[in-house]
Amino acid sequence: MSAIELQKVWKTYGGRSVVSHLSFRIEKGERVTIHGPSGSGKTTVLRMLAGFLAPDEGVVLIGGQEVAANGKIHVGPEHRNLGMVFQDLALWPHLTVYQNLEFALKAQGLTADVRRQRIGEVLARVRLDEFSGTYPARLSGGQQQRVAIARALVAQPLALLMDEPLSNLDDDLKDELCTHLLDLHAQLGFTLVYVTHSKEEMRKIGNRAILLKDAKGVSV
Amino acid sequence: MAAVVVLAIVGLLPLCLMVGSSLWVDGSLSSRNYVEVLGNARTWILFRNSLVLATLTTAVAGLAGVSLGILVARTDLPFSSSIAVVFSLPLLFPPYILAVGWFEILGRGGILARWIPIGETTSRWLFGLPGAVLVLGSAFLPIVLLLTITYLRGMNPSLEQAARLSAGWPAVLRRITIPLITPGILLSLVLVFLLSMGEFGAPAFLRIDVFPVASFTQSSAFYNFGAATAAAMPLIAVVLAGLLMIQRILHGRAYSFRWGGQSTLERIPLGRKKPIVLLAVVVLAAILVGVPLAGVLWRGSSVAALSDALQRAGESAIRSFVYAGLSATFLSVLGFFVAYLVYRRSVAGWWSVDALALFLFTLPGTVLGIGLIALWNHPSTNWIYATPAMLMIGFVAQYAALSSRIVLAGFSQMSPSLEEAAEVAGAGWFRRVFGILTPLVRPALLASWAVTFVFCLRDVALPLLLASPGRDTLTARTMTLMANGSSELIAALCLLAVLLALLPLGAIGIAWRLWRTPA
Amino acid sequence: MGQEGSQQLAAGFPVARRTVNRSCWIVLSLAALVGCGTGRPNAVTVYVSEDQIFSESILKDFKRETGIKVNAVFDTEEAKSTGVMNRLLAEKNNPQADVYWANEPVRADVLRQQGISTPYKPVSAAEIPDRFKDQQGYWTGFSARARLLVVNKAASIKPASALAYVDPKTKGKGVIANPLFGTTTAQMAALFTLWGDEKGKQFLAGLKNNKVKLSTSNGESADFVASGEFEFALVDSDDAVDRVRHGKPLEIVYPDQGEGEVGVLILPNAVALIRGGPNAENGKKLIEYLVSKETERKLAFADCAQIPLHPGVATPKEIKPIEQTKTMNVNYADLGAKLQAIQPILKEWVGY
Repeated sequence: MSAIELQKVWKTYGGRSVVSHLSFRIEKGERVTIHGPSGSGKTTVLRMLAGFLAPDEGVVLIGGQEVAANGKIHVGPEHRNLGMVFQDLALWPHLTVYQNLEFALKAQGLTADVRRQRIGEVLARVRLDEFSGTYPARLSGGQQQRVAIARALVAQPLALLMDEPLSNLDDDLKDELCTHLLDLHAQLGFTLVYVTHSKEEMRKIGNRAILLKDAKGVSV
Repeated sequence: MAAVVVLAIVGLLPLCLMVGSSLWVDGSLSSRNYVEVLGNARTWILFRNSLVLATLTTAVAGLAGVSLGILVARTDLPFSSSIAVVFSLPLLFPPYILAVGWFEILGRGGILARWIPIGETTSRWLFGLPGAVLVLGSAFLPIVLLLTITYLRGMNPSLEQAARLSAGWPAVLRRITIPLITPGILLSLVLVFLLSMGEFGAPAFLRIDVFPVASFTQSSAFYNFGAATAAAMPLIAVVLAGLLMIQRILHGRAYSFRWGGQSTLERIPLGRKKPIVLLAVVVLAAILVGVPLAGVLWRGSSVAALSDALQRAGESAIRSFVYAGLSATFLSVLGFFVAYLVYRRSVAGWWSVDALALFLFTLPGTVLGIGLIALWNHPSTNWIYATPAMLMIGFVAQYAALSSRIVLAGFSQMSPSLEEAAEVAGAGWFRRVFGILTPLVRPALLASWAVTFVFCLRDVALPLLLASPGRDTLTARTMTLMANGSSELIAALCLLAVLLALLPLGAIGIAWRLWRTPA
Repeated sequence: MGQEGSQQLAAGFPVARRTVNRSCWIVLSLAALVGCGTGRPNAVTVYVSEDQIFSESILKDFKRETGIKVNAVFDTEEAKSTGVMNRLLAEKNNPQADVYWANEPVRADVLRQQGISTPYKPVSAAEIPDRFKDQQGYWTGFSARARLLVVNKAASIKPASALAYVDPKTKGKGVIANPLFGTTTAQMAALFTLWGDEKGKQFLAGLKNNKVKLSTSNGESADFVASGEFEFALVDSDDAVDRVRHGKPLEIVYPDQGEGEVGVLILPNAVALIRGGPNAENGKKLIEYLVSKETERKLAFADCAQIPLHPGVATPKEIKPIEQTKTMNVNYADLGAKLQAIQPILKEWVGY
């Protein structure tokens, strides 16, 4: 059973095909990059996986379950058990680091003790233990990045979706975070779907790459 | 710099003069006016009435406005933009028109009383706190609605999506979306509160004893200009407190906003509840907007009533139109420069200009009007005082905040590098402003013109005090004709006011389309 | 604040005045847009507290007959007389108005006290009884409202006095407008003036004991009586005449006409010449016109049915000529003072 599978997926915006006839499978624990020039539909694919968009045609499966098909979403984002790191990180400015992480756990109905323990673990892994009471705006770019990753991982998702998360960082920080991400993957073994337009990140992060070109996908 | 001077002259000076004169009793500095007025129990009763009215109005407008804003901006409710437009209609005319409309329905001789003998009950209910809350609540609901929609549309969609990955819509709305737009909601609530504290026409029509009406009509402040100012002080204190809150709200927390661009906000599916929600919204629109407007239409749309209205107030309507148009033009120019100042923060104390504009906006028109008379009514300035320019100065002072805020919103959507690029390319200030900035904020300028036009058109308190003799506006004339005028005539005048507001806005709407199509 | 006070006030703000001059150029552009409209040679400016719906046609007639353009500022019903009163007071040092047309004499007398009006004794008011004029000519009364009783035709008792309100036989049958507002306040003040405070307070207490209902306005009182909910009410003559003309089952009774009784309270319009107004001569012409028999006749036959104060002017059938009416003998300046003085008593009585 694949972690993620797309079958003959089409998506059009205002008459223009953004994704056409795209199929791929991602196995559990894989590190896959989705790669392509801008406008090639990378983000659209990610948003369909996350459940924000339904494919016009075709089927999306997660954990073997059909979650969306032919213009209809069957399983909403909150029931897909995915974590996501957004390009702009999307940290909630009105909540502290701790509260940012707590949101998903509260939604799962976990008790305060369990929440505290899980958040403590994840924050330790991204080396941000001491910042749990801090608001995101007070953190550096690299720290914010790690909060976003921690928030995406805290609910122990089936897969982690990342949408060009490093595009706004300088090269040193990029290297550091790449290494850190690979460490985390080695420790936790989640499935990683990583969208990027950078060949370097593609090489570093993925053990497989899906190249989107002319709205079609080619597995590399 | 000139913008600062204009604002200071039209707005700040009259206030200083008023406060000064209120402290000057019989040739010496004295707090007698304050002791007398503020020591009077009735002052505080009225103040309490106003606070109660404003609080209830804010609660009603806030609750309905935020809920509707979320429904319109974030759910897949059908006809959402039409719904927003309908609920915003009351913004186009003075709140007392809604009051007149309700009166036609609920009054002792109203439509309802013809069918069911409850005219006395409904009339008592209308001419009291519930009626005033209903009228002002529906009049100011659009402010909350529009600000909620604006802030929701300006929100970064990924903030919501990040939450959607782990929770359903109710939890996301409660814990993420609404807290994120809290600054916008609070801003709108403070504005509604201040505007209902200062509202003159509707409470006057509904005979509610509130501060702005009574402080100028009751003996406490009567025959004594200084005492009138002293009586206005609690109101000014409330306004200042509200402004401090606004400043805190707006500057306390800096949120990242994503203006314009392709909105990729996911709409909340209402599912099976959709027909029920739609029905509820339509019913609410019918009650809050449809009923009072129908009341006005019903009484006022007879040929005889309309021709009577035109004959009695045709000239006033034209004047209203011209004054509002000229003021809106001037306001947009002024707003451009104030906004530029605030945007570039190039002059020290830029924020004080912004704060002053906001202060004047929320100051009751009656207070501002008296201050302006005190400042300008002087033999040497008679050439201004005795002309319609006086009224327009009042409009400019009162509504500068609107135009500057709207243009500022336009500026903040624009990258500062656009102007810097022109600067590097060697363009002088003049060419930068008129060659680069003006075209870029053209939509905002147009919006500012339309909004200030409507506000000037619907104003009552300033024309009553400042219109030069024989040159009143339609709103003022409607108010003065209400004394023993037939209700058909009053309704027809209100209808005229509604048309007056709708016609140019329709024209702007068309111009807007034409403008945008080539681009 | 007196005239001296105001001058000192202006002197106390040299900065303000200097800045005004310096800023002239800014406003010049505005003024240029609008066009300077001052200095019309043949015009008169009048501030009007009488209802616009009635007063405007009189002013139009004046313009048609004299060719003098009339610039009017009207008042709102709710802020009764306070809009233009505030303007008159605020403009004291640089008057814009030539004439103030008040709908009752008390406020016109305030203008005298504040030094805003100036004496002028119109020739055409010579025949109007002196008790309706200021002795020194600061204001002249004309066309009046009277405080009359309206009685439902089916009423069990026909009251003929304001004292009917405190007659135990009419318990729960009378209605009166809230005495905190309008002409009802004047009525109370007049009774307090004539009777003295003690008897006045007893009357107020009697109203409460006799379960007299308070309405929001005289019009509402008249409607209550017309619909039979109450049997009688003291209202303004225009409200009474209006209901009768619309065929409502009402009778108009002139109260307190008997020997030793107080008579009917008459509230005339009052017109005053403003001191230092820009067009004083035209102002005088307008005053002469307003207090003339012809204007009184027009106002008598208009919907407001006001009572002419000249003897011998034709009146509609619903109202009695002034010379056949026993009127309350009150000095309007005293009435104004009493009106202020009894405010606390009235507020307490109403339960504020």
